[in-house]
Order: sequence, then C-alpha cells, then structure tokens
Amino acid sequence: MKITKEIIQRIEGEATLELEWENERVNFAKIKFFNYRGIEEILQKRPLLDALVLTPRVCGICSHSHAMASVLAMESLLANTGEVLHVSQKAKDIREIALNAEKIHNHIKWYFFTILPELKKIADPSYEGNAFKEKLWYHAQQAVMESLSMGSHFSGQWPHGSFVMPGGVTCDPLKSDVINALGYLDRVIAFCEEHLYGMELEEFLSFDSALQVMSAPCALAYGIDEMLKYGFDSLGRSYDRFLALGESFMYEGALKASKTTVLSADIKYVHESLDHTFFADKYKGYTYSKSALYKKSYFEVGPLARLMVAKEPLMRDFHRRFKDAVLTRVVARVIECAHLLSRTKTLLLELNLKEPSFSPPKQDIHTLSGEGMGVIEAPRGTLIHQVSAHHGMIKSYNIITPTVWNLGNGDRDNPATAQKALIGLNSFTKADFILKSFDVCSVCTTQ
Amino acid sequence: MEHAKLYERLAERLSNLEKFPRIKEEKSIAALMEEHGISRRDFMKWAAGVTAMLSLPSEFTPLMAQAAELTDRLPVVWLHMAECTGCSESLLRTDAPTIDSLIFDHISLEYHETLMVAAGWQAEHNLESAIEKYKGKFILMVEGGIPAGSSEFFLTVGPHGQTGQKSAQKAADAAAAIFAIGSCSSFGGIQAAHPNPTNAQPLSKVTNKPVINVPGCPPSEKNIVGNVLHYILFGTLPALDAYNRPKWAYGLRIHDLCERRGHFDAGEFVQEFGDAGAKKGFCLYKVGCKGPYTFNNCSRERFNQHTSWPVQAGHGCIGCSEPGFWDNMGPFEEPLGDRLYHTVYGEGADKTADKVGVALLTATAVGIAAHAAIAAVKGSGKTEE
Repeated sequence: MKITKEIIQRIEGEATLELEWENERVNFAKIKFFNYRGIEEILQKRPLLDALVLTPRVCGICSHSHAMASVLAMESLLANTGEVLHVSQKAKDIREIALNAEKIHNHIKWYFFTILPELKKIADPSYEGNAFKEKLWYHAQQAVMESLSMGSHFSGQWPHGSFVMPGGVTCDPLKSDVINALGYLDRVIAFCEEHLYGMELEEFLSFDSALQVMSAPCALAYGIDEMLKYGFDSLGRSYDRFLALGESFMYEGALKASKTTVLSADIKYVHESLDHTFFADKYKGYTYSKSALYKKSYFEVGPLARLMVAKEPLMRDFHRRFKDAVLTRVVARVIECAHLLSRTKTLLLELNLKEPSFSPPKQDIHTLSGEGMGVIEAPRGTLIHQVSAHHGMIKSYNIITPTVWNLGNGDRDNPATAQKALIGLNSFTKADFILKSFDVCSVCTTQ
Repeated sequence: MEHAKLYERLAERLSNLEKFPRIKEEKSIAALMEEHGISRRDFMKWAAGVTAMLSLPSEFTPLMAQAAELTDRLPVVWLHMAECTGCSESLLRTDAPTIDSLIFDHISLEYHETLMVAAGWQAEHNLESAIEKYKGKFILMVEGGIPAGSSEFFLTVGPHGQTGQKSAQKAADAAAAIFAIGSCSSFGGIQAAHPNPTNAQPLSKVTNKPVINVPGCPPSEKNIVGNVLHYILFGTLPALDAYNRPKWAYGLRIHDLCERRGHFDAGEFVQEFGDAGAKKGFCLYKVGCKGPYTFNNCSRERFNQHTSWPVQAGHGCIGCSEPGFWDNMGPFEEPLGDRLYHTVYGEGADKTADKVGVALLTATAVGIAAHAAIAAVKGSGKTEE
C-alpha cells in the first residue's frame, strides 16, 4: 500500500492531505491540521464581553460570523437567566447585512480565486496563473473589496469588526451610509451579473433547471463545463445528508436537517468527537481538528446544505441530476450568492433608521452566571458558540466551526463527510480539488 | 536632513535601483495599469496620497511613483505562522484605485501560501528556491505568532514537517529586510495571550536580525504597502519607535486625530451603548475606548477603502497595535483606568494599569480641559458603581 502526503495550498492556513492507495485508488484519507492556537483556553477567566473581541480572531475570513455567534450566545445566556432582550428589527437587519457581506465576499473570492484557477490548472498542469494576474481576477478582487466596503459601513472594519453587543449593534448609521452601502452593493451585483451569471440577477433567481444556467456565457457556466469535462459531476459524493442549524431568511425557523426530505433537528444531538486528535492521544493523534456529529452521524454543512434545507428549486434540480457531487457543492455557493445579493439589497432599502440600534440589558453583565449558546449560519456552514459564565467571567467556551463538521476525521468504517468524498478517487489532483470544494479553512478548524 | 538633500539622495537610490534587472520579464506596471483602466492621473493621485501618508513633502510624489514602478525589482516572501489569515485579507482589501493590489501583484510575490497555486512538494520547493535564488535580496513578511517549541503544541508545515519557527528562522537569515505583519508576528498576538497555550512568540524573538513591526489586528493595508514603498525609496529601515514600529505610521495616538476627539475635550461621553450620547457620536472613552493609549494611524487612514473604522461604528478602539494588548487592555468594554473587578492578574494589577493609564492620558492631553474630562470620567464612573 502506498501512502502519499501533500501540503494543501491556497486555503486559509495549512492542511496536509494524506492518502492511502490501493490498486491505484484512494482507500482512505486523513485530513491533517497542525496550527493549533488554543483560543478556547485563552477565553477562560476573561470578562464575558471580551469574547466579542476575541472570538472574531478565530478566523480572518469569518470574523463577523464569530462575533455574531458570540453575541447570540450571550443573549441566550441572558434569556436563560430570565431576561429576554428586545433586539430591534433595525439591529437584526444590520447584523444580517454585515454577515451577508462576509458571505458574499467569501463566495465570490472562493469561486474566482480557488475554484477557477484550480480548474485551469487541472486542464493545463503548467498553468501558473496567480490569482491576480488576469483581468477577470482583477475585477473579481474589486467586487470582493466592494462587498466588504458595503458591510463595513455598519461594522467599522473588516476583518475583525467589533460592532455587536448583547442588545443590538453599536453603530448608528446615517441615511448617507445606507446610500453609500447600496452604491457598493450595486457594483457587486453588476459584476456578478456581467461575469458570474451572465444575466440579470432576477432572471437567474427565477430558474429551476440546471440547463437554464449552463448555457449562458459566464464564469459559472465555464466552471460547470470544465467540471463536467473532468467527471466532477459524479466525483466527490459523500453521504448526501445535510444540516443547517442556524436561522436563515430562506427557510422557516431554525434547526433543520435534511436528507432530501426535511426533518426537524435539535441541537441536543450535536456532539464533538476528539478521535484522532492530539488532544485525545498525543502520540497516536494526527490532527488538531475535532469532528462534529449529529446523532452520531456525519452531516454536510454549508451553502449546499442550506439550499437543500430551503428546497431551493434550482439547487434541487442540480441535486436531482448530480446528487452531492463536487459540481453540486461548487454551484451551491454561486446560487446562494445570488440570493444573498438580492436579500441584502432588500434589507438596505427597507432599513428603518428611526428604530433604536441598541437596547441595553437590565442586568449587569459583570455579575451574570449561567450558560448560553449561539448558533448561526456562517459562510461555510453551521457555527456554534457555547459559553458558560460565573459572575461575569467566562468559565468555559466551546466553538464548533463549520469545517469541523465537514473536514473532521472519522474511521475506516465510518469516514467523515470530506473523507467519504475522497475515497475511490484515482488522482491527487482530483482529491485536492474535492477537498477544496468544502472551502477548507484550517485556522478556524483548529482555532 | 534637508528636503533638497533627501530628495537628491532618494532620486539617486531609485536610479541605481532602476539599473537592476526586472525579476520577471513581464509587463511594466504602467502597461499593467493601462490594461486595468487606471490612468496615469489616478496613479499620480495615489502616489500623492502615499507620499502624504509617509509624512514626506508633496514634491516627493514623482519619486513615490517611480518607487512604485520599481517594485518589480523586489522579491517578497510571505510566511504564515499561527494566525487567522486576517492580515493577508487586509492586504488584499487595498485602497482605491487599488493600485496597491496591483503593486502586490506586480512585485514578485515569490511565496504566499494563501495566494499561490503550487501545492505539496512543489510549494516547499518554491519556498526553498526563492530563498536560495534571492538570498540577501528579498523582503520577508511574516504573518502570525511563532509557537516556540517548548510547548507540546507545535506548528509544523509541509511534507517535511518543519516547524514554523525553523522556516521563519531560515527565511529570516537570508532576507534583506524583515517585516512582522500584524500584532501576532510583532508581539505574539492572540495566541500569546494568557495562558499562551502554544508558547507563541513574536518574530523578533526567534531571529537576531532587526525586525520592523507592523502591528494591528489587522494592520491597515496602507501600513503594509507603505512600508514596502518606504523600503524601496530609502533602502534603509524607517525611523522606529521603542517597539520597532515605523514612526510614520505609529507615531501618533488613535486619540490624536480621532473624529470624536472634540467630544472628549468637551467632556461629552457615551455613558453606555445605545444612549443619547451614542446617537450624537460622543467620545467612547467611558465604554472602553483605548485610543488614548494606542499608537496607530487608523483614525486618519481607516479601513476598507477608507470606508470606516471601529470608532466610527460606535465601538471603542481595542488597542490592537500595542504589545500584549490582549492582557493589558482588557476588559475591552471598560475604561482602562476604571477597572473594578477581578482580572486574570487579580486586583493589584488594576492599580498599576490605572496609574499607567492616567500618566499616559496626562501626557496625551492637550490642556486643562482634557484633565477635567478625565476627572469627570473617573468620578462619575465610581458613583455609578
């Protein structure tokens, strides 16, 4: 049996993929993450509110997501002690706008700077294209910047804005901020319409058949064509089980799981496994990444899961044709991006500036004791923050990131989601691409 | 040095640099800009902005433009240590008309794990060959704190399982200039916060060569790019403060040019988030702003294409460009001089922080009005509790 190890590049942070081969096929895969920082330990014995500043630093790509999960955990802690905060609709909308900016930027960046160059490299191994050396890349980079500038009118900066507090948001935007933000958003939409979708957003969102989007001359159709060419429509399939625990405008309520049909899900069935980590066994462990399971099973989280839970018509058509293959997973991000652009525009247009940004909690946060949990849908999927506090100080803090759901390590008889997608492949290049289709982020996986 | 002399010296340096061959025979930056639809006029506007940012007189603008055009003579190696990739992200959020990003494209970014296409053995080979080929010539930029081994938690990178510390050392030994990008690389960062589970260290602790610290969590893209241009212009290290931060960027406090400074001087404070003062944009000192203790140019340069910055969004500065700020500046939503409850250091440390805070603030204050304002803050804080 042959074993190959490769360091995976052009992801956030570092990861190593170790493949075990038998008869020229991948028999088993180990996904290894090495850069542990210990943020959960560092959070202990600090004042509760400091988590709002510390947790965004878990990840430079999803910093707002962490701030948001953190603030929801604190609000649920307050609720558990009997105080249900009234967070104004305006504050909720501003939080969603900032979070959407992060998701939109992530999807555009990932599609143009990870997926497309990777596909070009598969077509031509000598392709040396740096992410920023072609005109289309340059325009995509502009769009990425513009989506973040849109959000930073409310969040102050990106990455690592501190603008949420239990009870609302700290910013008090003016009408001019909203108009400016709309200006930025319109430019992002214009880029996506011209280059990504090859048509107007509205038209794209009205489709319910894969064939309708495969014919337009655009970056999406190019990607789909390339993926079809190399068989990615049938490769990289995993369990076909989806989970989206955070709330979304696309489906009613929260806590949903889906295996083609939607079941109701409950957070109490989530558990984190330490198998194969250095924490469980210093010598036998091989990664710092834990694994997250729901009812002892591995589920896929992320845009594909969200759209499946929401029964989005276009997504369901892709899924009907290709199941949870790489192609479906990649297309999901692009479809979700369209919904987010349109939703964010509505939010900005309807934002009621007359409402208060912030309603302070009645209890003194410095004396709070209890537990709370915040669950949100981050760019890469379900993100959970669990906090336990004693007299206003953090006793313990647990973070379950989306990549822990997708990129954990299971066993040979029960591989984790990404592992399962890799088994049976016949080339490293394909394995690398399939791993990247989960939008790998090692910095948040290991914290 | 007099301006005329300095100008002459820089011009001479640039014309010498011009004689060096380009690293890659690609398009000149002028051609590249034209291709992207950026006019010479836009470019000169940008150059004037950077000139001002580096505190150089405006007649140096043509030199700045020339320096930018010469960036393709300069290889850069960017290493990731224990970090969140936020600094790379910040770097990529460059200013309008995004000439900075063009420059980072145009300069020979020989090795950048997040951006490059190569993987596996190829990637490691690229790093080794870049270090070998440009020995003594390249700029090394390191992002992230460096886990220093004596803990059981290591950072190992690549098929050879080399520790982060070792690759940073190796690269530093061969570099012409070394920049620690971000607070993690400069001072250890979040992973070095108490109890520092991975024994993370600043870059300067693992090499004996001079390291220029460009702290911030993240530093603004302008501070990163500005340092490169400064190095090209002068060929020497910039003037540094006590923490090895370039004075042109970290010479003033956030407080000094803050848009809410007038309210501080007038004693108008946000008492708690969401109150009437917050709506009027009053000073955030009482809800924890660390601007008076923090040296950086955020209040002038801002973030995300000059869109905004934390204080504009109604949250205080957290002091992210100061050494050990995770431990020294917390709790983040409380005034530094007003801490009343236990911290990880116990109660005693509060008193010291209090003294330091007041001393610093006193030094900062422009006059009696500010003193009065601080007194008002401290007084009312106590009665409220």
